[in-house]
Amino acid sequence: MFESSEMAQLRFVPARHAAPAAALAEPLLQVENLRVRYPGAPEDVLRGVGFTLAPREFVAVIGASGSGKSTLLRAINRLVEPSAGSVRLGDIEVTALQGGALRRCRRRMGMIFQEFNLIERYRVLDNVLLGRVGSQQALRALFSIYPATMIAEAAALLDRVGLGAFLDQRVDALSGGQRQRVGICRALFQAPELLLVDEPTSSLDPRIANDIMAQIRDLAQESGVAALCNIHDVALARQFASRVIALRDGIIVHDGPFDELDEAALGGIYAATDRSRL
Amino acid sequence: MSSTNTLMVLQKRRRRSLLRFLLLLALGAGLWLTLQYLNVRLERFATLFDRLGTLLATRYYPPDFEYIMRPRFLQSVLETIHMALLATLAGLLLAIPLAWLAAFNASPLPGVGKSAARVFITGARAIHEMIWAIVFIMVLGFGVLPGVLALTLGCIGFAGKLFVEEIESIDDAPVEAMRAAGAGPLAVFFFGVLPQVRTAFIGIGIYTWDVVFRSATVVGFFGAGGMGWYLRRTADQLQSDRVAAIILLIAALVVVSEVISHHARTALEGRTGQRVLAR
Repeated sequence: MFESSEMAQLRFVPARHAAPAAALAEPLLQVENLRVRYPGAPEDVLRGVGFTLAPREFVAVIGASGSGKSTLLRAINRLVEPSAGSVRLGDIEVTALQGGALRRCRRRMGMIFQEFNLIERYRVLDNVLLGRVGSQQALRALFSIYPATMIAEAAALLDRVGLGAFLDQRVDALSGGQRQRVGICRALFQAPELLLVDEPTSSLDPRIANDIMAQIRDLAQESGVAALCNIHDVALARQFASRVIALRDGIIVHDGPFDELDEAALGGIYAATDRSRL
Repeated sequence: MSSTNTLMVLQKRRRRSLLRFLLLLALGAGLWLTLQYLNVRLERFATLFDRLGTLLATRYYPPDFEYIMRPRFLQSVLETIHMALLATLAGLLLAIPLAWLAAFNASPLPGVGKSAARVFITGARAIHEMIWAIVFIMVLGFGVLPGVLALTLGCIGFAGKLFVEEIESIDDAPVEAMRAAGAGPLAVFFFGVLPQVRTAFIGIGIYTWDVVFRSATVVGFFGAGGMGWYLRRTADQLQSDRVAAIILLIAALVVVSEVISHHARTALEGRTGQRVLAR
């Protein structure tokens, strides 16, 4: 693979750097009146959600279990089909896309999952390389035929999160924190414009959770990527996000700086949610 | 617990007990009715082993091993092995994409494509290999090809159903991750589905080989190639010593095949640490 001296010289260079100043004025993501109802469900999980996200912005989404946080993220990249409303990524209306166009759009949105969603039998490096599976020929990827530059880039990214020594380890031999770092690398290796981060620390102990959140924020900033991050833990949201969107029963009840949320407001957000939604 | 509750529990237990007794009674009655309908005379079982022993000793012993060592017969044995190999490989290669199409949780064509694949797998399984062999002989004439086609369909029906069940029980998380990364259907299958079912698929493949090989030894009975044709000819000509030798050879080949399959499964389990289908 690589000599350690070579590894030391390699640095992950994100494919997309900071957006040009003119572009900063334009929101990267625009969500309007988004509604989602699961088949057979009596009511909407998301009930007219709307917000915008600027390039490079790091926004936390908070709310009780069942408030619609995960559904919101999955509706943005259409893993869950919205029943109404609009999602625009740059100048593309995501809800109108089908087939190849939708897949190309998804490649612009990296996703980090609560349960990591890695391929357990694969090596760490292969899992990260799969971040670009959409832009690779499936058969080439199946036989692990990747350009050397791509492998070097993935290795440098793993080195950046402290997993440089684990490239050839199977993922199922790693700890929870290490797995989540692999998940972060896979999402960033996609070279996305937007990171959708779904409860990245729920399966981790508090100390590791703090490290993971710091790495997500730092890497997103370094790469010039905006992030929408579901966090159940209010303290982590306060520590890492400049802006907080709070959901309750599928409706945004707060969108702004964390400082504007007092104890009473937080109590309202986390008050007993409609149990039928859980 | 109050006495009313205790009484209710006791009544429930009594009802369940009575239900079990009635079920057992119904099963016994059903068995008796079937025996009556088929006019099966159980007293004939008493003489079964005696007559079987006499028959084997007087007509099937000693087996004519010289017959099965003849080059033409040995050639038919090799033909049988090749037929089984070809049908297993072709059947498995076709069963995998069909199972992917048919699985309700992973099908890239969830509408008509899924239904068509399910119908094809079910249809292939519903009709026995021997019936398929007769059908293909009627269409293509005698020879190896109808035998291979019949065995391939049998393989698709058998392995396809097991593959579908494996795919339908996968964890959806890696599939979701691949879809989120903008992967196409083929990449989702290769990286989201296949890594989770690979070990099970290999186990099913080995087991399928066992089943196909057993069938391959007899499809020739109808003229579809392989050693089965010799079995039929010698049976028709009442050459029981030759029939005995052929049956013993089939049994030996099946045992050798199963020993190899068992070792392959054990090696796979040792390598992956996962339980591999073993029936």
